[in-house]
Amino acid sequence: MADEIQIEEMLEYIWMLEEDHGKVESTLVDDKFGNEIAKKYLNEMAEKKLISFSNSRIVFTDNGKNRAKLIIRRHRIAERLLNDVLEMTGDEFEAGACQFEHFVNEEIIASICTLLGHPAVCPHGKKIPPGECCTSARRKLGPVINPLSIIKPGEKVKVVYVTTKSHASLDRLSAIGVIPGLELTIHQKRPSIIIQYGETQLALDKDIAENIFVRAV
Amino acid sequence: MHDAKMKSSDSKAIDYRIALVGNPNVGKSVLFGLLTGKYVTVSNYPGTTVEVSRGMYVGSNETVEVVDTPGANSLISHSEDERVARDILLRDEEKKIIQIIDAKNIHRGLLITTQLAEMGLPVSISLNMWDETLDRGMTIDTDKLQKTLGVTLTKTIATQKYGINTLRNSVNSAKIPKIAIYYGEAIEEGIKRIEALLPDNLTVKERAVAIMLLSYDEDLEETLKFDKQLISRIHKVRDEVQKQFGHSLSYIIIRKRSDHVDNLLKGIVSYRGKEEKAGAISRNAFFFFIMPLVSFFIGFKVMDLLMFVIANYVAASGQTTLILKLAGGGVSVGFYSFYLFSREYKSGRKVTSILGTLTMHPFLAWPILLVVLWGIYKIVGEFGAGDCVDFIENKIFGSSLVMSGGFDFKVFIPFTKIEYVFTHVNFQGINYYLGLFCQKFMSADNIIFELFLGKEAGIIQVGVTYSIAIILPIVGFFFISFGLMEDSGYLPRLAVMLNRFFKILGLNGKAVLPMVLGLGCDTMATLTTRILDTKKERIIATLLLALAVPCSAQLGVIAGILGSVSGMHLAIYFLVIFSQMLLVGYISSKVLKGTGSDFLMEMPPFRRPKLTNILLKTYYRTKWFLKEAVPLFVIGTFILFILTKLGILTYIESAARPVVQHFLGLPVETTKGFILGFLRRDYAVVSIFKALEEKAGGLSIDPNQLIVALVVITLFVPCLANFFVMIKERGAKTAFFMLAFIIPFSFLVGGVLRYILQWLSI
Repeated sequence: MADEIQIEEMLEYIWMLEEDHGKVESTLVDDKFGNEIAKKYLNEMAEKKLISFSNSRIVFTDNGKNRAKLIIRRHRIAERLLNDVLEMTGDEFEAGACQFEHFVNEEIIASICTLLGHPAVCPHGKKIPPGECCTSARRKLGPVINPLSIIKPGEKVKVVYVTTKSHASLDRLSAIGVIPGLELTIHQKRPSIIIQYGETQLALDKDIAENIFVRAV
Repeated sequence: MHDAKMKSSDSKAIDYRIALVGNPNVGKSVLFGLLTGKYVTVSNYPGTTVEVSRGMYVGSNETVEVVDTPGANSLISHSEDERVARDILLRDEEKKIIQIIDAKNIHRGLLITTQLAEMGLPVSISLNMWDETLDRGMTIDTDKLQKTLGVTLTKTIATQKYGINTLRNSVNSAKIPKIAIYYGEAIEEGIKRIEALLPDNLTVKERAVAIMLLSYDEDLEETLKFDKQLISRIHKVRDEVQKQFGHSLSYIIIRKRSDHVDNLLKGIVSYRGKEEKAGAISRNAFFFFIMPLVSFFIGFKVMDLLMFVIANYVAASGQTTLILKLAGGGVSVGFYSFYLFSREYKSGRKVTSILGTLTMHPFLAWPILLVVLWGIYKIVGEFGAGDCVDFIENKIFGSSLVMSGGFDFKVFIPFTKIEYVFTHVNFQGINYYLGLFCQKFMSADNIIFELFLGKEAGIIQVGVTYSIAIILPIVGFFFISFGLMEDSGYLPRLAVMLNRFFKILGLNGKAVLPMVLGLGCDTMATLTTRILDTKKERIIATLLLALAVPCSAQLGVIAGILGSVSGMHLAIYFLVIFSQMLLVGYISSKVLKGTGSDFLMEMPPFRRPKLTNILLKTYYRTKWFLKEAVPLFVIGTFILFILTKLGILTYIESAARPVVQHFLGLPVETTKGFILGFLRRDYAVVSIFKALEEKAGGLSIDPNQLIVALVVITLFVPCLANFFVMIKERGAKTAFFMLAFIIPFSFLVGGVLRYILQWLSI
């Protein structure tokens, strides 16, 4: 198992090198993982027909490329999840994403991807390789989670998460009762957005509504 | 008013205090009135109580003081209101809490109860607005909830005095609510660590303070006067706990509370399904009779106003205009009826909730707004500022030297020419009799006589007469209309409609309250800018009120004069003032430092206003206003008197001559009008109008000259009373800075307007 994780890490690194430089010098891999380990696993990967060597360079086989693509996709989707939804930052966020990529399966990633509205780039601005869910989504479904500001009047939605830059606005919203899990109806969009929940009607700015993410119920 | 009461209550030893606590707009002020017999302004607009009212509890042997707190959604302060409410609770006093909960929004109310429980304060809960809760088909198992909370719950309808005595009795058995929330290991650990750091002299439970501190209530650290070292130790703990969460701690704590309240309410709140249906007859009358009639009138009136504006440019005969107006009415009936029957007829909602939706509808609400404004203008501008002011000023007060000629006491039937005169009242005016009396001792050119009864700037003849003859009718009628808008819930809906407009000005929809109030009286409006959240917003609102919002006294006269010239010119006038408001607001929102705030406002339900409350409110507001304004008018008149006597006025006149004559293209005689504007804005208008009229001789006045003059006088300095309030609220530096901007700016706009009008040759 440990081997598998190591291989995945290396595939990921090779992908990133290829993305940045267009080619992969095997010495760079040696530098990153250490000579001994690099040698051991690169050979193993070559045996498994994931990569091949041409001169000093490493080249993906089709098989290896597909596998690396999935890992990268998992990693970057995880980054989006941890950054946007769970609002993690710094080391914690990177470490989380790194652990995440190794133990979630494709099905879960597809759900998360759909949940997040099929993001195209990771928080660092790098491309997220599209999965099956993304291409089929373009035909069938829209994203599951949307900002409140684009929901049509009359629709009933459930709050999934709230991202507000300043703590104060977030607190004001939560004190009035707008917290994840709340079911609300869009009463009207113009001239201001008005939401209704329970016996409360609340008028709010578009700026605030853009930070409330909801899912249709 | 408050000071006097405070002194009397301080002299007696107070056994304990009752603090009224609750979310905004749940009826705290009404209950306060009922418990103390003292009036505080009650309104259907969240955030009206900014100042804390105190009064003595009626009907108890002990000496009990009741404190009304501003509405708060949380006792962790995000706004001025919440800070004030929290500080009252933290004060070192023996106190009991009556928490008022809007029963239909019980969840939100109980969120505050959890915080009161953590503070360890004895609470008795009033479930207010019980009638509205029942109307909505909601039932609350109060017995069960009472047992769970261990606190007395009383169902009340404060506006009908229902349940008040039970509530009074329940205060004696107020207890600390049995609510204990477990915030999870990490936060509990943090709470313990902060508790250990806290000093011993706290007035509420340490746990509550620790939780508030973890919730980023940094203002609290100031209130409790923590030293820097302690604060940094607390922050260290907080940051360590924060690290374990992706969201802000305050958010996590509120969610925990909210989940707890959710669990509490399980099996306690239930819905009978459909809301109570309104009576079939009144409902059908609303759909088939009242609304068609009203919507016809709306359409008719909108067309009427349109025709008025373009009257000079369309050679339409009386018949064509009538047909157009009728068509407007017909179309309007079509639109409104279509909406009502397709969306609302079968919904079974109450008429008031339908109106609540209609008055903020994206399209249909605008014509309603126009007609509402027109109605207010009719009542305040025409009837109040026109007829009533005329009568009181000329007939009741009159002049010290000339007889008023008396008036007829008569009845007439509206819309006809039939009238019946009972008798002619031969009353020559209070000032005339005073003048007559004084002339027994002195001649009319004596300086003492002129000081009090002089035509130019006599303290009684001008100061007192104007303040009473103007304020009573105009402000009185305005407050009545304003009260109607406030209590029906129309005002917050107006905030929704105008939010986008106010955003351009660097304000938000909340500013609708001071701005609309400014149309009545800028002085009072400047005081209410306190309800705005940030300092920047308050400054912008104050500036715009002083610059571009004409008060009803002025608006009435201006509309009267310009309306008689042509509707087109009236429209140009409004366009210019409006554009200046936009321009100055927009620029100051960019230039001024500080932040604005987001618009987040709860819509109170549309209600049928209670006439008694409106009249009572009007009475108290007018009284308060007279108390504030009369002395200012007297002082202002006195200053004017001195200026006249010393000849400074003539000096200013000659200094201003080049600007007035050459830049604005107005006759020199109007200069005096502008100076008078500082004392009384509407009088300035009349004075300028008269000067122009005299200049024109028998010919009609040049309407362009008139517009230029009126635009300048509108933008020009606020009246003296307003200026004093600006100093009081914003500080002398800001106020003088604003004045220094406004005066040249108004002349600049006037001059530019003159050239534009010339160029367009309108």
